Amino acid sequence: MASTDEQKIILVSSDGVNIQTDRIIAERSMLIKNMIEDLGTPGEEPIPIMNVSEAVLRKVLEWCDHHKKDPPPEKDEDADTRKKTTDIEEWDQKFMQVDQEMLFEIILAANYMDIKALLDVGCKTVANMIKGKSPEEIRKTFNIQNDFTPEEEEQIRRENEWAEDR
Amino acid sequence: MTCLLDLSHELLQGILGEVDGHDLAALSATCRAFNSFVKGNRILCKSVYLRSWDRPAGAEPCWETSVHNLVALTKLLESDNLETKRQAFEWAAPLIAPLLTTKNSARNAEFLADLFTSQKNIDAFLAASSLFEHAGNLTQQPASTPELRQLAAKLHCLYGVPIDCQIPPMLVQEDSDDNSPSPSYSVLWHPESASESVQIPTNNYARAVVYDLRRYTEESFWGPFKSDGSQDVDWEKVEAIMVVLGYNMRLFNRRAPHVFEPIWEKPFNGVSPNSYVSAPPTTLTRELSPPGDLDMQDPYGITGEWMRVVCFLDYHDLFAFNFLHSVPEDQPRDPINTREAIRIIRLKLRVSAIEPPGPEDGQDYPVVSFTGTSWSLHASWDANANSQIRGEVRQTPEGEIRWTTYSIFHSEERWRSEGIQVGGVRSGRGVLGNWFDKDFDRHGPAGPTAFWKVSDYIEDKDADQGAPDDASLGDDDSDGDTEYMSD
Repeated sequence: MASTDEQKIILVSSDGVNIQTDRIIAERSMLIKNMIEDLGTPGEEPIPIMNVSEAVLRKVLEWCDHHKKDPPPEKDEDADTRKKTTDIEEWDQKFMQVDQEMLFEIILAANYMDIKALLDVGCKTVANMIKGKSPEEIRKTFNIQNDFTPEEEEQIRRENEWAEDR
Repeated sequence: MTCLLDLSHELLQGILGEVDGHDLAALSATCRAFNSFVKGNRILCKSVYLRSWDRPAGAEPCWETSVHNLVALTKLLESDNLETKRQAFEWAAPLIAPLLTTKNSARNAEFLADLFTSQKNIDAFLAASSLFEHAGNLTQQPASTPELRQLAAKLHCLYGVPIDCQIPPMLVQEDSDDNSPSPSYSVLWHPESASESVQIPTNNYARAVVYDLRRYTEESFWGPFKSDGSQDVDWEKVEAIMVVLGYNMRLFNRRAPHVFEPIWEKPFNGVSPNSYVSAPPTTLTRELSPPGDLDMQDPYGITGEWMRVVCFLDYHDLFAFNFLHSVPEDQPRDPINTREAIRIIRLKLRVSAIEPPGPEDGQDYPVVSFTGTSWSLHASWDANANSQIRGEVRQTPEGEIRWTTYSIFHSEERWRSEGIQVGGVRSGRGVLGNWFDKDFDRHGPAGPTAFWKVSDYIEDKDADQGAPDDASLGDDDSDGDTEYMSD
């Protein structure tokens, strides 16, 4: 039997496409890692990834391939010492230069497949699209409809005085 | 098509937890869905808060209010408008000190140090005690009430770099041989002639506070406490002590830059509890005393080596300042620019006893006694600094850490000191206070003193080996200043 590093496994996307990849790459996903451990026969049975389409799954695996040698995530990182949002490494920033639909799909897939580091990068990428913007700019960026009445807008303006420049 | 608002509550929480405080306001103003998501969202506010600032001490605060407060504080400190800052002093200043009393305040200290590079912030928030009624420049004005002036003095103490135009910080003056007063010195006695560009040295007014013997009272325990017997800290006294000692240490440092490591030069440094971290023992340390049982139980981290600075006026000057002119009880004495003497002393302290707090003490910590030796880094003729020392550390009812020391010469106690540790238990900043006659002599002498820890490890060498040669100290104040100190 091949060593774990070289083992191949087959994933099946939600639209029914088989994708072959290295076990070490796929195991960046805790979902897949746990499934392989449960099945006990790695490589023999294709593993269905119910909620992720082929295009998104290939993109996610691209990320996993690049990060396959990363050290395992530290357990329960203390919320107090978390890195600041701006800290996204360069490769990840480029990787995340996709249209919004794909960006959200990657976040959903990372969440479903339990890939914490990818989920983090996704969340930070979206957060960076929000940071420093005015309400109108945020609406434009995310195609959000302003559904406030003028009275509500006035009230919110007053409620938000704490955040105004002085 | 998937869009932002279609994401689950959990994922939105994860994403929005990565924005900055002020972005929450913009988000809540985009649409109803975001408005209701953001408003009152405790978990979101908590993660946004902890992304930028250190976890507050004590019980969980209202995270939403905390974020709003600190964003408002940031905006205020980023403002370019001095008048806006001044008017906001009352709500903004009380937000600052608690940022530094957290267990680990490294990020908060950096946050404040960044914002307080602005001269306008320094003028509006740190130079606003009674001291600045006359001292400083025209934009430095005292706050409107005694409570707010106390708060301003406390912030100045926490900032920790004395605000004084007369002598720049030590580090930028490394090899200057310029000992002469700055040009503004000459206007000292004519504050009314001051124009915007003129600054009045803070140390002259601070000196008039620390050597005013009327302020050494039984009710204030002869230390930097309020004159009401409460043991509450009088931050304006601590501020004056810091300014006077800071001035003298900077001056000393110009003459003898290698005697001790400069301190009080980095804004907001060493002002949180447990911020003191000892360097590892040097290889020159021949024998290390292993920590004893008492040391392990001592919450104050007493055992180790400390640097102490003591300043004093020549007794004739002190007497003339206090007893030649009468000043109404409620008015400060006139500023003085009389040159003082300074002593740099090294202390070796060891815990000697630990007892439960008495009824007058704060109840969180025990009363810990210590004994030790002190020796002068000056000439060996100065018998005063080479002595035994003992003392106690206790918590005040207000929660500050109070140090009392007694200097012992030939088994007789002579001087006593009372001080408080700025930044609390085991802070790196050290203890600032007053020294005086142990029998509370109303005619003095008395003056300011401070000490700060330099090592957890005690070097086992004889005291007399510690004194460097006299020349290196550039001691130009040796004439006449030992009159009462060496009898």
